[in-house]
Amino acid sequence: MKRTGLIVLAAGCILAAPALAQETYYVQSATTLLLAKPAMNATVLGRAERGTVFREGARQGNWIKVQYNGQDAWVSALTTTTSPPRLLTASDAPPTPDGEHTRLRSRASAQPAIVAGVKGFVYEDRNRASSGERVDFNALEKMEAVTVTPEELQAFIAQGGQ
Amino acid sequence: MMTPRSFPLLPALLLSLCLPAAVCAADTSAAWRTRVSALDTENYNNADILEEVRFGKEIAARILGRYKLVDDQKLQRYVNRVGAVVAQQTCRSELTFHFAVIESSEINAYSTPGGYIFVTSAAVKLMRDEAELAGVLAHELAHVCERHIVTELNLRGRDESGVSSLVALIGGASDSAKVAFNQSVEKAIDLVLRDGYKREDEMRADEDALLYVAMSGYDPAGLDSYLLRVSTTKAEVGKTYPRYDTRRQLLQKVAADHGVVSGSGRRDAARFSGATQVLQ
Repeated sequence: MKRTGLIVLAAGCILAAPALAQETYYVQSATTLLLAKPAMNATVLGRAERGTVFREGARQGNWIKVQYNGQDAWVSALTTTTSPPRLLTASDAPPTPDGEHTRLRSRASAQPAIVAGVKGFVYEDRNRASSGERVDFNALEKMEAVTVTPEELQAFIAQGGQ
Repeated sequence: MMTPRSFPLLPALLLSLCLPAAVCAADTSAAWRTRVSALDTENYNNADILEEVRFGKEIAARILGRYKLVDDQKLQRYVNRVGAVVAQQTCRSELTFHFAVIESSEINAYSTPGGYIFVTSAAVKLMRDEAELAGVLAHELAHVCERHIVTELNLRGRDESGVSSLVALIGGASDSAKVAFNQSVEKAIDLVLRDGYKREDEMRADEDALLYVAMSGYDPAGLDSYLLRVSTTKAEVGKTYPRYDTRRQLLQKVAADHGVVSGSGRRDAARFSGATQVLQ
């Protein structure tokens, strides 16, 4: 009878296993810190790049415990999700509404690991007024034209710290 | 009536049935909000994200219909660089964030779904260094990353038929779909420019912003010093905004809880001053 009870208990543990299954997390930020403790001022054990996969060992607020080089490490949940980094392409765009011409331009990325952005819906009726609300798609295009290349970004970061 | 032979089996049976439920309940309760807000990507596919961007463009174009872009390329490039430094730390790697300074005497900043972020010239004039600018941009980035507008307008996820409500709303060609789309855009404009986000969303954005700034290498005290200066300048807060002292207290608590140390990062006051000269 004792053996039967143990078998039933074991069966319950097996049933519980899916609930205890570890989540898989993917780094979404360009890089993320791996810290010795769940605190920004903890010792930095390393850095992981976008696309790196971790299995969750534990969760503490905004921090996820993972394994890194054989030791426990903590990464910020703000920099990770449970889906791989996305790559958006023109073929992902849904059908456009009738009567509205749109053109989808893909921005080529210099780094294959970086998700390619999808840019540039061009609307025919750029300055239409809608319900008395003025819209300015010309200004929007000017805003979108200001870009930062990865090289410019790295140079900007390197020149900082003054 | 239980016999002595069945009695030891019954607790084991009950325990084995309760164990999975207990584990599931614990997982559900622990940090649920944190888990859902930052990690809930399963309900959004690529088409959803593209429609989010398209929706954001409509809102951004309306903001630009009201407020002119500051006509200074050096300033606009600079703000985009600072914004890009912080955006690198977010989990919305699929988005291309765009930043702009708009002419306005109101001290404010706005963001739209899809990653269009605006900061007013009056707000920038009040800042003293790059860390303060980074803090303000980080707050707006957090609204985008947490999908606050998409959630508020119930545009997230899929309906029972499996079709994304966002795609169904925006992609529809019928007159009723266009009306519904325009109504959603108008609601979003009201939310962004007039009514404001829910209080808890503003506080969440502050919390995330502090961490983004710290992870970007900026002094996390930047957002606090800016809020202190705004509080002495701008008496009114928005309808749903927490008071400035409440926001600053929250930032201090978040900093303490997460080991974020003030004074430990970059301020870059000289670079900020040079880049924003046109506004001084």
